[in-house]
Amino acid sequence: MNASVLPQDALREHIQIHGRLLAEVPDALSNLHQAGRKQLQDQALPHRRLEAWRYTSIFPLVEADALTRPLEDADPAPARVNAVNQIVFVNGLLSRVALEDSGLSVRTWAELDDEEQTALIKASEAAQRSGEHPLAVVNQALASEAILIELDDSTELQHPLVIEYQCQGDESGSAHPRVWLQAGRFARADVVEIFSQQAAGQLHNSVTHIQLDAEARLTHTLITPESDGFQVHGIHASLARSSRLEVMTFATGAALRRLDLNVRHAGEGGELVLNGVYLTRETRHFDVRTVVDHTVPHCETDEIWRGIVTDESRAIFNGRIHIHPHAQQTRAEMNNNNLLLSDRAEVDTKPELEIYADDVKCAHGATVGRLDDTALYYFQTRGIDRKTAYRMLSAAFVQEVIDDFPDTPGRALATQLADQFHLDTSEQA
Amino acid sequence: MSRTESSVDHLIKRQYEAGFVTDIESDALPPGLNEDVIRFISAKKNEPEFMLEWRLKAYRAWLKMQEPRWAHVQYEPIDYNDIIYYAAPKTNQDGPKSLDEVDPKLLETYEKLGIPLHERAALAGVAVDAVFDSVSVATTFKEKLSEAGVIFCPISEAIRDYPELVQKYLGSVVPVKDNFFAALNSAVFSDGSFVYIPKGVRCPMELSTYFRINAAKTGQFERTLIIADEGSYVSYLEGCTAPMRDENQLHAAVVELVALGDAEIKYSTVQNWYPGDEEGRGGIYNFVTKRGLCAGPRSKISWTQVETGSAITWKYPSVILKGDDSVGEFYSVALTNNRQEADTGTKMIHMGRNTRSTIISKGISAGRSQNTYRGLVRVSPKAEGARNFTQCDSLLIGSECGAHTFPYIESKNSRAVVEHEATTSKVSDDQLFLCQQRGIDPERAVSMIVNGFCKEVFKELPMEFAVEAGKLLEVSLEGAVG
Repeated sequence: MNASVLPQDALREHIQIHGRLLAEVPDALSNLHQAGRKQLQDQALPHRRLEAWRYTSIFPLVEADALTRPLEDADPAPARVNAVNQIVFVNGLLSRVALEDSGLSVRTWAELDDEEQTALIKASEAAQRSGEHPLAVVNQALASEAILIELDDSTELQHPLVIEYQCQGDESGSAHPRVWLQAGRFARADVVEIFSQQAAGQLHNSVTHIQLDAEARLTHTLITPESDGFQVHGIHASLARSSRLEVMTFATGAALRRLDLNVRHAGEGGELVLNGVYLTRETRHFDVRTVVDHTVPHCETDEIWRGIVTDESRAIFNGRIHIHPHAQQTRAEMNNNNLLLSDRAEVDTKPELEIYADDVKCAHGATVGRLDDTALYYFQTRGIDRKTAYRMLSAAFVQEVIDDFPDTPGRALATQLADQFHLDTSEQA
Repeated sequence: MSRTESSVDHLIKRQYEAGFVTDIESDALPPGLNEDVIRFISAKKNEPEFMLEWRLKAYRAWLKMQEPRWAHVQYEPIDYNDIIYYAAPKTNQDGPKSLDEVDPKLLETYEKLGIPLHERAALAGVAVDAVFDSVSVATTFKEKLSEAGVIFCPISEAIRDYPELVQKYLGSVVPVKDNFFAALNSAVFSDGSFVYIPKGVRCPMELSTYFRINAAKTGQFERTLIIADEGSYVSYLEGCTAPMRDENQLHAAVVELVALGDAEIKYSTVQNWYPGDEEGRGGIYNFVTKRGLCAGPRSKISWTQVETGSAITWKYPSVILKGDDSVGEFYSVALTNNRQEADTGTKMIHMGRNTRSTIISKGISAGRSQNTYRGLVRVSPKAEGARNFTQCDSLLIGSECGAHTFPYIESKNSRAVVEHEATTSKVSDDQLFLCQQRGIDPERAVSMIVNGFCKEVFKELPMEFAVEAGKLLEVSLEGAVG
């Protein structure tokens, strides 16, 4: 690559090359692509001088040429968890849909009528308009698959819906699956999104739009295992009156991992829990940005993020709670605690509050520290060796949050991955 | 209720008490900025060659820089060629040697502000280096200070008399290219204060400077440099008020502090510049770069500020904790009312081992103002055992104001501990009700609650400043409660 070209300009060029490849074989997704390309024109692509991308460089992405082409079509691997309601994507393409519970349906983009397609495109555009989600727009412009999942009014899902995204093969390239999830009035469901590893040079850039109608309740668990590739995932959620959403994230590091979790309180009485755990090691990178918009009165947000950062890894937490004018009687709390366990690792945290209404209760806190020496010593005086003490203390630090995950295969998987992480890292203690 | 309303009405329409113009003929340049203006300023001050070169270097760098836009404030674009870069009150050629020789009109100005210079100086034992517009005109207690070996003089004088000190330290903490406004200041600064405390000396009195912006359309570009040599101590007070103006006035000051080993600098500010009228017209643009360097081991720099004035404030007093075991502190109360906008906070850069920093920030927004805390705590890989505690609380008064918090924490050392906490709330109806039950009217109650909210910061201020700050807050808040 020419050294004088800015990474964001190179990225734009890569997207154009990819876009031309897609345009060669027009398919059902063409209108989605077109709208995305149009929106992309006046969007700044990520670069370090954009506040939202201050700590994450996209240079590795450019260097790997991951965006220039789609991932090759591939066969699915066995699913990571067996679920009654299951959707599997392989390299960004829909590979398997098995739904047994009633009141739940999935349609691909081709199965939607024009009106529905237009409405979904419009909703995406509105969510992406702020200019803060450039990669979500890229996802739309290069979408490899788009599906609509619907939960009928008053449906109470008996089993969790598990969506699994697999990346197969070791060729570089990118996948851009897009999911709309609409929960009708009084619907109840647990959803789990599980991501797989990517090979070095592969980019998995997914977007999930969640829309909760009045009184709906949804839990949404995200599981991202360690990866050598690049993984970007965006959630854009909108909460109608008296609905409740729990987004629980278990994350590890990747060559580059970026999560953008955006939730908008659009109806009074909404409740949001936005918790997460991140565990990073080696030279991996994790970056999460959460933006919660309170646009109406009487809503609540609770956010707790815990992270353990070791070796030469880097973790970035950027949380923003924005209370718009007239969003009175809001209660919002955000906490980010980090264990920084190596001098070559780095933690950057930026918990932000932006408040334009006076009758609100808002608080945020952030800490960066290490394991308590006296606690380690106490364990040792009781005959528990240092390694075990180290493992128990770091496990306790994050397990508290994982234990609050809804009872789905997601929680079991998160616990298992966390245990492995603690076991491995305590070896160095 | 109607009584409260009418008193509120009255208070809302209250004029800025310090708003008056002293009529002193200015020896001013026409508006505009180019290299000749810089040469003129430099020549006017009889500066040595190195200063002119330094200024020109800053100016050339400034030309290539862009005005920062990241702060959470909105204001009309500034036309830098519509600013007068030099204005000096006409005085005797030699300048006054004592208070008696000071232009009585100047003294009158201070009297109107309720801080009679001579009285204050005599009573409080404070040496005042008064900056009136751009040239220092009165310096008191000089002899007493020089006995202790302390140098406290206008920076223009220091450039002539102590060029080796100035050359060594000027721009060492805030380099000329540091930011847009610092570069502009470096190019055109007119005057300011210079302090040097020799080794092991505890400055016998609190040093104080009163700034006033006076002549219309005069950008004020102070430059302050304080050097505390090994084992010394100094407490420096800075306070400001300004006359009423319709046009926005730019103020881009630079303050540099250097604390060598075991030295301590305490820098306190009460800022009450004209904030504009209820609609935000007029008012000062306050774009200030303040930074301290804890250069030696066990040194300490403490910033305390009470910010109630200015239409736009853009100010981040920072400490670079380079020496091992050095300490940085930042205590701030920022109050905004009407249409005021403040984006203020601090930066604590931990470089040395076992460095410690404390940040206490209290933001109060009323009316339709916007109040932002923006802070950075950075722990470099070598800052083993570094410790930071940050607390920033916001209080909202009125439903149309905004309070924002943007803290940045960057940690690269596993033996460092960084803590940040922030809360936002309003003056609760319960608290107000309780006070009213006890016969305290709402205005008084709010003022009490706000004073309690700010107590942690006020207790860091020197005594006479604390009293002034409490009063200032009360006055600034009047009309905000309905």
